[in-house]
Amino acid sequence: MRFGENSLTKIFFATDIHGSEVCFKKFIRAATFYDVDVAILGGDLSGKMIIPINRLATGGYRFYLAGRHNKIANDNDLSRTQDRLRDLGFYSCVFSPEEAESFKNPGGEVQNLFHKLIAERLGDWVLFADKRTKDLRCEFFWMPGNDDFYFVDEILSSSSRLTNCDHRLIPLPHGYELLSLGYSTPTPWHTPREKSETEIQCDLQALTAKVAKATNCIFNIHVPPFRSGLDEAPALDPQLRVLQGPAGAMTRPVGSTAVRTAVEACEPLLGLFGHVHESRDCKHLGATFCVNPGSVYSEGMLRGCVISLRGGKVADWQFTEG
Amino acid sequence: MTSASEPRVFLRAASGLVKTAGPFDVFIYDIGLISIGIGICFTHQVGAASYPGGSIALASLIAAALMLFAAAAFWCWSITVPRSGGLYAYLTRGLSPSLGFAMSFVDALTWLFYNALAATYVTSIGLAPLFFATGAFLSRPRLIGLAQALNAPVTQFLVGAAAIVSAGFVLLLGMRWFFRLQRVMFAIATVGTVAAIYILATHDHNQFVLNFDRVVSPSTPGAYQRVLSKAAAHGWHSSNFSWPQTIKLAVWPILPLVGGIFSIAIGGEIREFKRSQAIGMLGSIAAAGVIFGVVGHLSDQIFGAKFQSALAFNAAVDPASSTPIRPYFPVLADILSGNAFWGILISLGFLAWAYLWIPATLVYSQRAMLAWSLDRLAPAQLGYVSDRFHTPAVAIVVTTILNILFLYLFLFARFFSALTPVLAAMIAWLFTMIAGIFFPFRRADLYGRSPSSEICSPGVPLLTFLSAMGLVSISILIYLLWNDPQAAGHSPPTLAVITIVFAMGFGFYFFMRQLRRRQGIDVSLAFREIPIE
Repeated sequence: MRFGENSLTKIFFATDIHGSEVCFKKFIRAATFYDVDVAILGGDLSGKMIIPINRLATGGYRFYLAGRHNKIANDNDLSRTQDRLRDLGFYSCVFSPEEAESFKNPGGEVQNLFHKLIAERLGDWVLFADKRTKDLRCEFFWMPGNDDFYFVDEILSSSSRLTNCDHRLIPLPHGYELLSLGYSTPTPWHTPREKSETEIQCDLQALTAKVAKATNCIFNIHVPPFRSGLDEAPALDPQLRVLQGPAGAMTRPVGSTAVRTAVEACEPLLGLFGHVHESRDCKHLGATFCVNPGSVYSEGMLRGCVISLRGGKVADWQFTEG
Repeated sequence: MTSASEPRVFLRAASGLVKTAGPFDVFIYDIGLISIGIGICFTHQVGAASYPGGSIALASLIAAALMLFAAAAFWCWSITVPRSGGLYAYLTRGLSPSLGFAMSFVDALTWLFYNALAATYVTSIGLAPLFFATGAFLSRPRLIGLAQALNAPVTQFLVGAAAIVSAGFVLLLGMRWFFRLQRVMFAIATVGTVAAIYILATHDHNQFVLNFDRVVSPSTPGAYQRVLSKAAAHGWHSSNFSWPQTIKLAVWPILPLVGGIFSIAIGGEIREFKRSQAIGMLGSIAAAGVIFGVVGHLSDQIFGAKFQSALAFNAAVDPASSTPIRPYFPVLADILSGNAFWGILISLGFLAWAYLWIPATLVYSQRAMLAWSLDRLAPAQLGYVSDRFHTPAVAIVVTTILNILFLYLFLFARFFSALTPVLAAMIAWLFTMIAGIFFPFRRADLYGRSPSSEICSPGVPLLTFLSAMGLVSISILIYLLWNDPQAAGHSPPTLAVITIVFAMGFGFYFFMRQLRRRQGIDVSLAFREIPIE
């Protein structure tokens, strides 16, 4: 398809919301707030932490957060607390004293609990999104990232309005194509969706082989290209402590060489990346305009980027913090 | 069931779960930016001459107390908005984008200006005392002559510019080189400071008088007394202790103590930020205040409070009646030490303090520029990151050039009092405090999600309470600066400088906003919160 001189496609991209409900709701709202044609939510949708809320025999509840115990007086306060924890990306579960006792030395029960809570939240998001977006013209896409278990695929694909674009090449308005991949290279935390550089290279080669025209293609790949400036993560010692220097945290590039090779070889129009929350930036890799909007989900702020494509080119961009 | 047996949190294997390296690193960062050496020299040189009767030790403690209130407010800001960017991050989200940008602009420019001061101190408190001590104690008159030549404005400019360019070059190479340099400089600076305090603590006034006579005027005894008599002949008045002078003097230690809050610029990189920022900011200011106080007290005891005042007075009006080079603290400490080894150690330490400040302050301003660029409030080129070095090359070059221009202005064309830019920065801080008072109400949802909201406070949100206290302390500082023409004052040149700097900040914002509007970009999107409902 040829582009009209004035054909404008506006894309909103955010990523790495890690279970934050307020960030997800803002993502859905962003479509109309920024008046975009396409809204893409990059990987890492699942949260990382369960906060047990322990029911006290004397009444009320207690939970532990940020280094201290917190008391909840009644069920109204409980509901407000759980809302707040959801917005911060945490899961919560109310334990009776007997249940808390059984979780004193947890084993597989915690993993099962994570699965249950992650599934519940994503299921709620699907219902919310399908209801809120049914009359919107904007096209919505989302995908899992390296921190998401494989079982979430089915939930993400169950939405009638949000398309699970992972490991797919999908046509967009005005002749563009969206190529997506949610894996990352190996991390110190051995997360669910990690692949070696060779495996990522094979996946990308298989996907890029189907691209009609590379210069109309948008890469939506969770792990950024290696040494792109979008992959500078805190440098860690073997005990996962951030190495600090006299001017702040030291960083090192943690991106993928396979992704960099694919970007340089294919030269897509646009590259959308996530994975490294601290590396909010944009730059050109060859002819490709690459963006990582970063993430501050734990503050309830949705960092994103609005990119305007006009006539097959990136016309302008704007980082957002909603 | 006790809380000890309840499950606390369950974590799963997920990226980004890292352990903090501890608040000590933030403490080192902040105290490095306070620059103990610059603080001691700046306060002793100016305070002694211009505030007769003022106690440097007490003034330092008063300054530290005032700064602690301001720092407490900044600490609360840093845990409410726990990300990098400092004033820019707080005010664009807490007040308005235009105010936030303008205050950030004033803040960045102010500390770049004082980087020029640090560049001059490379010679005047570092190299010059180093050569002076070596020449005096090893009987090498040529080295004393070299020290005198280093104190000349042209030499200070050339050496200072070289220091700034070298710092920019190190930053261009990358943060690893910067860290290495900072570690080495900090170690040397610490050793030199400890050496100076050791010398002060283990010598007495009579030894200083003897050494001073021997070094300054070996052939004609009585040099110490001549300093006092010559100063009196030139119009200097000896004064007893004065509280009003001491309070007025307190604005001078404020300049170095400001560095104690600079970790707001790296807030997003600190994981255990509540504790780390508290220890870093408050700890560094308290520690520096105590060190300034101890050094001030010992200096008064050993050198003599009236002598320091007379000596600094002579250095300003009749340098021939003073020491061969400008009598900054390291010079006096070197003389007291009586030998080249200690003199070199002390001078190297103070040289390191001066040089340590330069790249760290450049980084502070560069980070602000990068933040502006990402929000499209500055040209995209300013945010350019070198493919080769992975450093913000354009921002480094721009800040280096600006710094050299400020160095020239500072040495040859300064038409305003030394602390005028500090007055401008304090006004920017005033807005930050006002924003802090209202932030919990204007952005209740954001504040409600922040760690600040979990901390008990007396009836009002913690940020409101601490910002109100900070507002009082900064208002006191502004009052002192405004009414002291030695420091800042409110003469037409001072008002012109402040007006111009703020006008530049606002002007630049509105110019860029208009430019972007024509390009179809709405810069306010960078700051506007998305409503959920």
